[in-house]
Amino acid sequence: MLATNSERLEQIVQHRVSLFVPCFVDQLVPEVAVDTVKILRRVGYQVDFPEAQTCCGQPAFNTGYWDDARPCAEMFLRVFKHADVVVCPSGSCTTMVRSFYPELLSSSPLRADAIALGRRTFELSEFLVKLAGVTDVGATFPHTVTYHASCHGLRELQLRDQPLQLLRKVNGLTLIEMSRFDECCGFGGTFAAKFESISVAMGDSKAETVAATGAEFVTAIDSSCLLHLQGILGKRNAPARTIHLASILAQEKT
Amino acid sequence: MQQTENSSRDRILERIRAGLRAPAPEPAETSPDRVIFESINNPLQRFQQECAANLTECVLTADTMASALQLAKVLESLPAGEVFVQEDPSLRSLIELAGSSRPIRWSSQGAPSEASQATVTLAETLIAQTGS
Amino acid sequence: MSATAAQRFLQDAAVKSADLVHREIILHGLESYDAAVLRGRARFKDWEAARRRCQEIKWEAVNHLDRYLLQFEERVIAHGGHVFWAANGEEACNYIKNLASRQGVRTVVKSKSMVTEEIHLSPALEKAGIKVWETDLGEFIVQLRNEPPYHIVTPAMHLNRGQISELFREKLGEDIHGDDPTELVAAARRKLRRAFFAAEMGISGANFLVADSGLIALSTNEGNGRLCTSVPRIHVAVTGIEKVIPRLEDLAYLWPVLATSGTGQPITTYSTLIGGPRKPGEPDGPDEFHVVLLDNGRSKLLADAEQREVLHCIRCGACLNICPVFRHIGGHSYGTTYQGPIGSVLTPHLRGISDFQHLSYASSLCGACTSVCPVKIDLHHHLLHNRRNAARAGTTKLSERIMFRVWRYIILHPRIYALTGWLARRTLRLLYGLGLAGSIVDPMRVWNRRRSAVPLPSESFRTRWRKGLATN
Repeated sequence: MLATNSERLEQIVQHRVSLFVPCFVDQLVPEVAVDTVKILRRVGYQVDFPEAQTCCGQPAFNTGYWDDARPCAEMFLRVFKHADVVVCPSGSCTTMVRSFYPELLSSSPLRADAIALGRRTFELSEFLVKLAGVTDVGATFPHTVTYHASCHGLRELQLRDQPLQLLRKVNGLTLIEMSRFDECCGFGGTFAAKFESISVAMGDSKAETVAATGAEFVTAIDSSCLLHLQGILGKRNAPARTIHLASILAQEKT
Repeated sequence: MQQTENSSRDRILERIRAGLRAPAPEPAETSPDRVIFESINNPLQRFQQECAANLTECVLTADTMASALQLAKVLESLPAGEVFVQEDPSLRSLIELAGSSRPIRWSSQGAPSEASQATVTLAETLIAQTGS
Repeated sequence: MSATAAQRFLQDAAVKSADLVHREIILHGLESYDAAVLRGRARFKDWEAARRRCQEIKWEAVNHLDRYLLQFEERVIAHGGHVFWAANGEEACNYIKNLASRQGVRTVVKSKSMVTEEIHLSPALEKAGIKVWETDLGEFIVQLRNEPPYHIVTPAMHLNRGQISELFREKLGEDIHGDDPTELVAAARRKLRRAFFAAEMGISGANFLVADSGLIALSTNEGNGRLCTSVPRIHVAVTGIEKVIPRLEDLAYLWPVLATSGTGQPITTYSTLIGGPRKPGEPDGPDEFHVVLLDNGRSKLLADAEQREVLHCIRCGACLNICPVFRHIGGHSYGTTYQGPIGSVLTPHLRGISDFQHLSYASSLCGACTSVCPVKIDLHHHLLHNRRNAARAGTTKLSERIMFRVWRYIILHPRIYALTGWLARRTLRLLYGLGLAGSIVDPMRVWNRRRSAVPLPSESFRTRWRKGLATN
């Protein structure tokens, strides 16, 4: 799924990326997107935010309402049509564009555009490590941190090491591995509401493995998992706090 | 032999054939030269290793006499009761050599009884990969 | 019915997911399973290549199902066996019941078979006055408890030794002290030995039907399968039509891959090939050998080219074991014969999408199942396809359909989206300021009831972008 060499060269010459901000990041945790902008600029990229973007359509798609998701996908393709490279601080929404748009638009004239845009769309850590070729983004975060591997990033995009590579280069940061770091936190979109009790039980298990590490922070590449986990940790008055990978990488020495 | 009454047979086959008319997507491309199992350089050694892992006692013996002695040792360790033995000339002579006091029931005499303590058979092949 | 199955699932899942003793037992059992499987996979030089090989074998078999079933049938008959084709569970049960009554069968011993669970064979036989003994230890335990198997491979996974010891004391009248596994197994063995030798009929499933040689392949770990299929006068193997494989040598891959995924073993302890009744001069084996080939909805699934590969399943249980939903709600909550991800994909096909579509939603779509499936079934995407099919068929809730239509309108109009977001955050902040988060008036209450409230920033990202962040 990597960009071809020519694409890569083009974007490196231009050093310009378009930002895709998932709707819940835009509305609920805007600082994650602000931090993403900071990091991208710090490593030398100009950032563009096409303001006509809203949502990639994943909530409807995952609930089975493909006919409602499809026009959202088509709008997304129009909004990012001229973007050389799209960067998104979410593995899940990147998955929607790269892995699911081609299937959602399988009988649409836009299918080829969807495949092409999918190849130009990257999750933040993936973009930094694979495309920009940086692992040290000059961040400082003197805390203990444990990493949760969000499902879509891990299993649909095969992002295993990129977030960890970035975290290992953060000044002062101590990484503690949690057991079953790759087990789902229980968010799962509408699953979290439709099956509240299962979702919360899964979150509880995750909160326990987080607590067992004794880390001050739990991080991930997806705000959706972190919002759910934050809710669970908050209800338990657990000491650990959630923080998006982008918000760690954006921290500078004060 | 009488035919089995099969009123649904043709209907099921017809449904299968109709169902298969739409082709399913084929599995993603494979490279046939990928090696699935490690090659085994020393099959006997591997067989013994696997036996140990399977909690199977595997004893190598030098000749028939040693085999008979080993067999006698195993048979004597069992609780009282008959031993069921595969009807075979080599096992006949081996059991005779072992000189066990156990009651023996040969497979030619019919099925084993409920109280049979052990079965002695030959093995046609030993499988190194699994210790089977 | 439709509301009942879904409602029962919600209730049972809620109870089980809060049951910490249950969670402890399951996690403890699965911890050793996880370790064994990791060791097992490491025995392969290329585990991924093995999965692909098995996928190809099953693909070939399922996509030429008629040809291989006919070949299998021909060879079984040539060996002196009978083959019966059953369109549904009733036909299968009736065939076996009639056979039993013709032959004066009063006692049946069964080795583990999920297909016989699927068609409710044991209750059908018992109703006809036949005593049925489950001889797999786990099945024996759940039979004593009068409950269905908890897990397709490990039927009594949900019980610990103490609970089993208590059960045996109560139901077997055995004088058991403590919960030493050896003693428990010995108690079960005493009962079952007698049953094996009393039974006139043995019933087994089949892990694979080998077309080119007319053999059935049976994998068991306790040796009970061999006793069931060789001691009684009659052996009946009940199996789904999708279990056929083309060639004997395919087992060289399927056997180790099934065992590795199922238990972490290099190969199942008793891997048996059965090729018909006893022939003259053979010391053991049944006088009669019957194979019951069951359709029961499988040919309908076959017709769905997109999901046809669900029939590749070899029932190893790996998708259940890794599934975080299964780990939390356990096997019984599903209310189905086949639990976990494979059950959620399969059951709507076998028992109707309207009654069992809720299972397609009872997943976070994390994809862990797909990552371990030894025949590479795209399980979590099929759950997604089931959801799409349900929405398309119009069997989803009207309120949900309306909600997504409104949502779509909002998403397609960026200004309305921004305004709605701003309004919603304002309103919720006001509400939460009054301490009403999670209360009945909170539109986010399913989220906020058991999680602390979501953050509600005063400005969205797009507002901050416009207020100065835009300058590079």
